[in-house]
Amino acid sequence: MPVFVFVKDVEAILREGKQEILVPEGAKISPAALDLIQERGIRVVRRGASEPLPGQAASEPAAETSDEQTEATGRTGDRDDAVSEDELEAIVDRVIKRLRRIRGETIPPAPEDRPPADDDDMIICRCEEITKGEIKEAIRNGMTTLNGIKRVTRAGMGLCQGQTCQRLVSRILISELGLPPAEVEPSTARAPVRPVRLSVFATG
Amino acid sequence: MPESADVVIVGGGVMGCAIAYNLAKEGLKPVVVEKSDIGGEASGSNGGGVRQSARNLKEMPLAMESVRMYGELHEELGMDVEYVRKGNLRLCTNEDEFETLRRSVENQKAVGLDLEMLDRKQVLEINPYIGDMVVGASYCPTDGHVNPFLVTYGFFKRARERGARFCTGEQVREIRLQKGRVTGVVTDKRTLETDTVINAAGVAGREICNMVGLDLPMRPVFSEALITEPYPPLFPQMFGHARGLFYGRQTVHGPFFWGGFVGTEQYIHREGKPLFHYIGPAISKAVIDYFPVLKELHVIRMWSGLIAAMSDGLPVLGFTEEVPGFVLCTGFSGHGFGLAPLIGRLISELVMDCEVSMPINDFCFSRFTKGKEHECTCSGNATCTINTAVCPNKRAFLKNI
Ligand code: FES
Repeated sequence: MPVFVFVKDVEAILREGKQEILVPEGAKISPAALDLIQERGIRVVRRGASEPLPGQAASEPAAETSDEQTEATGRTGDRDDAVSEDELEAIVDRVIKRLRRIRGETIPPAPEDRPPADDDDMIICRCEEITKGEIKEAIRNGMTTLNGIKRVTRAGMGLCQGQTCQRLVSRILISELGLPPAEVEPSTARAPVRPVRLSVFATG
Repeated sequence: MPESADVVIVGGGVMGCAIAYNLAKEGLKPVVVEKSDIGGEASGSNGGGVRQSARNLKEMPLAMESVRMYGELHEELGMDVEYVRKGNLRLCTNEDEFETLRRSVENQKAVGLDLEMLDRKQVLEINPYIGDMVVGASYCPTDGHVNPFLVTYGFFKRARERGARFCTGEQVREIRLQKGRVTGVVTDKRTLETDTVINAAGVAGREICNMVGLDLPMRPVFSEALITEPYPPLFPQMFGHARGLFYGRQTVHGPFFWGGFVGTEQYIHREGKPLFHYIGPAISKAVIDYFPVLKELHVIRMWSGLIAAMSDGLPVLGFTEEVPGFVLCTGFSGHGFGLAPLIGRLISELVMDCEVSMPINDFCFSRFTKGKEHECTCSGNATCTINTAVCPNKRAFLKNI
């Protein structure tokens, strides 16, 4: 159920003389309220959806929540015991290094956000070491969806599940096929959102 | 303006692509209609087992020939399909399972399959990582596994190079009949005139049959699997469980694939593929029990797929007497992938020559309509009613008018 932050909520904050508004995770801010927020230079703090809206709480000890806690509640995956963003990074690095060692390879640089044209050697999917050239070849061979490219090239199948590379892949797809960006369907999201240990998963 | 096609194949999974490839090789220009993506359903999401052991004995000759063909597939397709022929172990966890499996192994040996029963010590020699609960296993050294999507893609690519056409994201709405014969296919984007339609629609095969007034005793069964983070190579074998509850392998890229069943999979809603929240944990628990070394690995992805399960667990292949021009190739009941290269060839032979090089009579549609003791015509032209556009009888027939 979407929750909206309205002008009246912002006004309530202003009346209390605060410079910060707490917005539940996933809630939308009405355009008018957003204007007001920007006009008055109020800071928006996102937080867990279970917390009440600031304007609705008569007295708000909850408003004392620090930024770190806000981070923590907003970032966990679909299960409490799933690993955090940082841990995920660490696992990705560890596994990549491990695989490199086995293959006796050196470590290529991480992909740039905006790939230069005609750079077919550039690694697009870091987890699986897939280059732009390989992705272009799959497209030439008739794969026209992110899911199809993922299955053929493995780009997006790695540890991060495409969080790093899917945007780059869809950009290649758009430029190769001349599609309007809206026509590229996102690849199917797969649970778990964050890697989870077998031993932890097994306990339900 | 209707287009025309030599043959229309419904379904762009591994079967559809393999049939298209074989027909295109013969010079035909088949059109494949796929509602989602090439290999987007079961062909892209199964375990990739290429297995002969523990098959229904009726399927055994096909499975053995198919394993032979898998050995040459990379040459035929001009690409690596990650085929590994390093054996399949079917694990038993108690004496009952061991006994039942031992009896079935005897039967399989009798039809010429090379496999044997191993006790726990022998299993450990082949794979030192199995857990304490395993008391023994059957071992078939010529079984193995493959990357299922790459096989599908390989057939797709080759078929396309040879002139097959693929219409993806396109749904079949209607199959046109005239005087009981197939005359065309209507999709949501076009009308294709044809006198041969091959139903290779997998789990949607029943729906496609319904379009020509036939029905199949088929239901969708849900199946879930998980993938772990990559790990250095531990073992190359494919694994199964004596009663089929658990299966999986390490892929050549390092991640482990594990799938399993808990017994509630046939109670799904027809549309949609939810994840049952308790199956993932059940599979994880099984993995840890069977392979304790893996317990610290992370699960990075889970997915589900639908199995086209037939009432007798066997596919339905070949012509239908009821509707000339309508060819069946569906209902593989969760073990079709290993047969794909051969089935692609056989269905193509059937369409081209009205004759197949290996009998497929055990899989004909009439087994449902006429009982087991019927005179089967699915793979021959005993009572040919001019089954396909290109069959020799039709060619002769056309010459005479
Ligand atoms: S970069 Fe992680 S899956 Fe592609």
